[in-house]
Amino acid sequence: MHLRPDRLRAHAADTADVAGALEALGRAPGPAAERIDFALRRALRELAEIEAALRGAAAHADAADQTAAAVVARLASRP
Amino acid sequence: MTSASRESSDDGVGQWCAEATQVLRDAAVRAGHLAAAVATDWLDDNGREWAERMTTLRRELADTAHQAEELATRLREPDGTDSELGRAMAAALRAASAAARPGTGPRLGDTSGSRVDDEHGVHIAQLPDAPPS
Repeated sequence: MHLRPDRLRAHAADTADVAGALEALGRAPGPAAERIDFALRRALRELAEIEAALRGAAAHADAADQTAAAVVARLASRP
Repeated sequence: MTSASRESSDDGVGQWCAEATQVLRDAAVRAGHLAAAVATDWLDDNGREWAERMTTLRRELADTAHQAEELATRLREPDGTDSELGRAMAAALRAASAAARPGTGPRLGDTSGSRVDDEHGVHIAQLPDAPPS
């Protein structure tokens, strides 16, 4: 299955941007909002994992593309 | 904690919750778009799994936004009388109490917490007894 590393990286950057917006809220200023603060921290962890997965998949796709290109080049250079 | 400092702290939390509501809503919308984009651009089992996780996250962000909004509303209206409905009901109760005159029909207690008696509370309208024939 061919993946589009450029698009996966763009989605990873968007994911990081969403996380940045949430991070900018900072911590809840009082215990009354503890539950919301907890949910926010959990969402940030999940976003970080999704971002890492997207970047990992993009790197994997890049490596697969390079391997395929090298094979093609080797085949093409055969007499 | 004194009453004044608690109110000040509640103001801070309420303000933070109001801001968080908006940010979380935006994040939920963006997470929804990202889930769709990931499902389109990563067409294998792993991609499907991560798209599903992003969809779940979208739901959680929307739920959290809702909770933050509820908390912000609750902190803004600690006694529950600042809402439009609360104000309307309080006004109706005051008007009914003021208009109540000795007459027919039962009386109910109002929201003042006063002991109910014949002089206090809402007057429930009732048809007068039929005149003796």
